[in-house]
This record gives sequence, C-alpha cells and structure tokens, in this order.
Amino acid sequence: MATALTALRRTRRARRLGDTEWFDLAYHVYLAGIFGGSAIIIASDYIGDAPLGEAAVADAFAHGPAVLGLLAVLALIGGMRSGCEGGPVSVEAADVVHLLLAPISRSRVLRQPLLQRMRAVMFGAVLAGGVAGLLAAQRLPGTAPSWTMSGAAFGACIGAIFVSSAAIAHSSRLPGWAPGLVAIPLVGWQVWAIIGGIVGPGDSVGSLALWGFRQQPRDLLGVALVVAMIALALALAGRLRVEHLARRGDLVSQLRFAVTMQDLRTVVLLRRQLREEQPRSRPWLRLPPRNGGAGTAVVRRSVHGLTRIPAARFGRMVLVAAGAGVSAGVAARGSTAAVIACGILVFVVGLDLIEPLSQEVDHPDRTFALPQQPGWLHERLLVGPVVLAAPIALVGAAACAAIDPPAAPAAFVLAIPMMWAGMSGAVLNTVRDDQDPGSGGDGLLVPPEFAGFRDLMRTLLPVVASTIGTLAILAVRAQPDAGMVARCAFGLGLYVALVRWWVVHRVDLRQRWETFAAGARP
Amino acid sequence: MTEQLAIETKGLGRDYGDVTALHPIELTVPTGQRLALVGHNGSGKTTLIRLLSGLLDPSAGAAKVGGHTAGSLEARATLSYLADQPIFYDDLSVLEHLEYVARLHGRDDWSDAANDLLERFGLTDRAGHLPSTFSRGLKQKAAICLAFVRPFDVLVVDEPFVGLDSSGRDELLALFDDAHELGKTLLVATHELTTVAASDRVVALRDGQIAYDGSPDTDLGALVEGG
Repeated sequence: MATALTALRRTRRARRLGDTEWFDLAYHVYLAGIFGGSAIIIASDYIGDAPLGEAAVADAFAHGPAVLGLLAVLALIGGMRSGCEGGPVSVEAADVVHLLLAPISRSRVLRQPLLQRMRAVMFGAVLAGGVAGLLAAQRLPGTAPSWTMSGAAFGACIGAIFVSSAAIAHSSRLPGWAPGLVAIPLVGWQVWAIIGGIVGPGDSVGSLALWGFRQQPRDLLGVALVVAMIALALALAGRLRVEHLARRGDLVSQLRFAVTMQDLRTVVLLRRQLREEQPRSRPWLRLPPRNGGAGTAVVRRSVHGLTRIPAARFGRMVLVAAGAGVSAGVAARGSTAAVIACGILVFVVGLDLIEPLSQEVDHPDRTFALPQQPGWLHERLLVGPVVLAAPIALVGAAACAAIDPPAAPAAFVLAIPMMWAGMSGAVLNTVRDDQDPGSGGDGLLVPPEFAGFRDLMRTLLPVVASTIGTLAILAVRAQPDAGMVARCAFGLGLYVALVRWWVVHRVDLRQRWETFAAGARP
Repeated sequence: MTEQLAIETKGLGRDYGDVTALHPIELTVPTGQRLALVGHNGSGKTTLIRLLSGLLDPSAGAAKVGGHTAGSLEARATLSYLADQPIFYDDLSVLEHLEYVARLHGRDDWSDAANDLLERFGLTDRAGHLPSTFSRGLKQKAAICLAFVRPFDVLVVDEPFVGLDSSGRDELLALFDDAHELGKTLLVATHELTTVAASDRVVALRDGQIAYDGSPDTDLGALVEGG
C-alpha cells in the first residue's frame, strides 16, 4: 500500500514538473527580484550606514534578545492559534477522500505535507531574516556574511516555531481559547523582559539573531527547543484532524488562486471560512419588523448584516483599529513611513466593516435583477458600516493618543473622517468587482499584454485610496494647530464625498464609457 | 451467541457551533444488513455518514465500524464511502484513480475488477480521460467504480443516484444486490423509493433524531419526505 502512495506521488510530481510554465515562473521570479531588490535598497537607504556609537551598540545587544524574543513568542502564539483553527497543513480534497480514508498510516501520509509547509514557511523566514541581518550589518560591528547567517538562522527558528506550534496545537486538539490563555502571561513576561531587563521566554531564540557579532553557547538551548518542537510536530503528524483537513483542502486551493489573482476581498472571505468564522445565528440586536420604502429596506439590510458580525471579528476590527492608531501615533512622532502601515490597517478594518456591501456585490445576479441602479443600492448599504465605523475609529484615536499624547485632540477630531476615508479604499476595492452578469466590459481597451500590470494596479489602488486619508497625520504634524486640523477634517470630508459620488454614479459612467469605446472601434 | 455488528453507535452526536445536526443516537447495524437511511434535507443523514466514515469528529459519543473506532486504520480498511459529491485528482485518469485506490487498499489484482466496473458503467472508452472534466453523471459513475474497486465489508453511500441516467442507476442497484449477496453491509442514504423498498431495514432521521427504525413495509413516501 505504501508503495502505491510513493509511486503515485512520484508520478504526479513528474507531471507537475512537466506542466510547469517555466516562462511564467521566470516572470514571477523577475517581478519578485525587482520588487524585493527595490524594497531592500529603500530599506537600506532608510537605515543608513553610519556605524552606531558604542552606547547604542551596547544598548542593542542588551535589549536585542528580548525585543527579537518577542517575535518568537508571537510566532508561538500565532502558530497555536493557526493550529486551533485547523492549520498549518492543507491537503487536496481528493487526498482526504482517497488517501486519508484508506487503511494506510496517516503519519506517513501527513508527514510530507507538514514538512513541505515547514520548508516553505522557513524559507520565507530565512530570506526575511537574512535580509534583516544584511541591513543590520551596515550599522553594527561584525561582517555582513555573519550577520546575514545569524539573521537567517533566527528567521528559520521563527518559521519552525510557527509551523511546529501550529501542528502540535492541532494534533493535541487544543481548544480555541488556549492560545489566548497562553498569550497573556507569555507576552506579558516577554514585554517585561524588554522593559525590566529580566530574562524572557523568547530571549535565547532572540539572542541567536545577534550571533553575527556575539556568540553565546546558551543560545543553543533555544535552538534545541525548536528542534524538539519540530520533532514533536512530525511525530504527531498522524493525529492531525481529518475534519479540518477536509474543510481546508478546498478552501486553501481557492485561497491560493485568489492570492494569485490579487483578489484581496476573496482572500479575506476565504480566511474567514478557514477560521470557521460564521455570522452569528442570534444577532446582537433584533430590529422590529417595519414597513417603509425600498431605501429604508436597504439600510435595514445593512444593519441586519452588521448585527450578525461574530464577536471574534469585532475583536479583530477593534485590535486592527488600535494598531492603525498606534501607527498614526508613531507617524505623528516623526516616522513618516508609518502612515503607510496606518493606511493598510484602516483598509483592512474597512473590508470587515463593509460586509453588507460585499455580500451584495458577491451576488450580482440578485443586484442586477432589482429595479434600482446598483449605485443607489450600494450607497444605502454603506449607512450601517459608516455608523459602526465611528466608535471603532475612536479606539484608534485612543491608541494614537497613548503613543503621542500631545496629538490627542487632533486624533479624536480626525479619527472618524480618517476611518471613513480609509474605508473608501475598501469600498472601491469591493465595488470594482461588481459586474453586470450580462456585460463583458471588464478590462475595456486594455490589451492582454497589460493584464498583469492592470491586476497589480487594481490591487494597489484601493490600498493607496485608503492611505490618502492618513496623509492628514503628516499635515497636522507639520502644522499642529486647530486651523490645520479643521482644514484636514474638511478635506477628508470632501474626499469621502467624492468616493460616495463615484460609488453612486460609477455604473452610469461605465455604461457611457462602454458606449464611447464601442463607437471608437472600427 | 451475540450477533456481529457492522456498525454501532453509542450516543453519537454532532454539533456545528450552536446548531445540533445530530442528537445523540444509538444505532446498531448487524453484518450483512441492507439499511436505507432516509429523511428530509438537513435531517442529519450526511452528518451521520461522515461520522461513520471518519471524516467528522463526533461532538458526543462514539461510532464503531466492524468493531473498530470509526476513522481508525482498521475501520478505514473495512468501510468504503461513496460521498454525495464526487472528488477526484485533477491530474489522474479514471484508470489511474482505480489503480491508485485499489492498491492503497491492498488489492493487487485490481485490473480485472476495474475493467469490469468500467464496462458496466460505460466508461471503458473514457478510462484514460480525466474525471475532473466529466459531467456530473459521469463523475458519479467514476466515483461508484472507485467505491467498488476496493475491498470492503461495509459500504456507506450518500445520495448515490444524483445525476445518474437509468442504465447507471440499474447498474448501481445491481452492484448493491451483488454486495448484499456476498454478505456485505450496506447503508444507503437516499430518497429513491425503490432502494428503500429493497432494503432490510429503514432508519428515518428527522431534525437529527431517529424518527423511525423498522421494516420498509410502511408509508415510505412519508418517511422519505420526512412526513
């Protein structure tokens, strides 16, 4: 039986290799090289190459292990969370039915995908760690190769911790609340290690990253623990739950496809399904039945959708909004690049907030069967999300104020319009997927050679649209007075109004454009 | 002497979040019995079948197949499961699927059996084709071949007639008869009255609970439609 498994895997691997589009692959490598290389050059320029002073070096070596150890702790908790949600392995749906239901050892079947997953995650982490080490070498004592190696080793450990802890949590069937329970003391301990100078649980792994200059044999204890975790994860591979694997098999292939297509909305949806995140069967509040016009019905539909948001998603939106607030605070204190992080985080919150609109866009047959313009419908579907965005934005304002107290008044004034402006990117991202099932107008006048570039733009533009709102932080930082805050609030309001106008009129505009384009064809 | 049981559940239940799909049930199926599982949509048939096949973990209780815990290696060797949705590898032909599944189950003399099944379902000419590109009915026929090419003592089938034409349906019923004659245990979830009537026993589920357990000599229409 094992022979059949080995033979099949060999045959399929050979076929996959035979079917590989090498030109396509080379193009992806080329793109990754260009974007990766550019990112490294920009980061390198940002970090600078002036060697750090003696005191700064001593400070980096004193606190570095604890700070980097926090990454190890977060990888452990993130891995456990992934494991409780059914990660980290996914197998083909056909493997579940034909292979995992066959009388063949599941350890034998599942060890290989687990190893593949570990290899892929570790490879990414090794690359990131190596690059970080290379950049650190610019300012820290020691040679570039040694820093690159130690950064790569640290990255490998982080990747291995994530996948191993996920596999162990999954196969030992930890309940969903366990990662949270472990996170509070572990993160608290590690943060205390950063602030108070005590030894933290992640210190020995964190210290490994500093081997580019300083080697401490005791750091090998961390490596030994990571190796033990890998061994335990592989030993328990046969206990991974078939139910989770069956559910993930199909979803993960869809997720990969969505990532390939740079379809952020579908990625978010599929991630929710992977986490088994279902709308609440009992809403947070029930609206009494009401008669009224069509407009009221649509607004009520948007509120109905929001009343079924699960607690976990609410928690996530609040956390991400707080993260956006922290980024805004960091930007207000001088780190300009943090506005990009703030924009991305607000975009992510927006995607969750506009769920009623997304549901409508996901069912175009229904939308285009209605006797109303889609823009009319979409505008009203955003009423509930716009209202809900306000308290969530205030959480972000509080986080910003905690990071930069002098910016608190501006933060509380600008938070809500900035959140609405941030939601605009999410709205643009969602409504652009809205296609009349009868029309074939996508990509009008765009030749196939530019399809990849167009897809990239389609992915980036909504995020850029969300980030535009966060530029107000820089304006207020440059001129921190009430007049500037008022001007920014007004500007954000105008921006939101412009996006609203686009949402309402875009179908009409597109139809005019299609008519024009058809007339221009020979 | 105690009767040997092909399937045995003790307080077997399953929840999906706050929805109970299957309330704890006690069900015993003696070896060689032909049992029809009926009930309206959402009554818990597929959940019960997936629990028996080991694709779902129970929220309560336990299930045994051939005396072994459902989903264990021994139970997987005993039970052949034909799902309601046929699933195939994208890159394997029908014949390659048959070889693979048969060999995974330790059947080395698979070739004759595979060819016989292909012929019965009119798939001989398509043996080298990819089933993932087939129509729903052809996929169902290929899936049936896979369920029967491997050795089994218990056959658990979920809505097997979906998409089948009349000849495919007749062949499947003939295969059921053959397996029954060989002393295999059959558990078939279906709305097909003919299959229900040909069974030794009918179990009807309603809202995740056993609403009827007895002979098929009853108002089958009401049972099948969940009345």
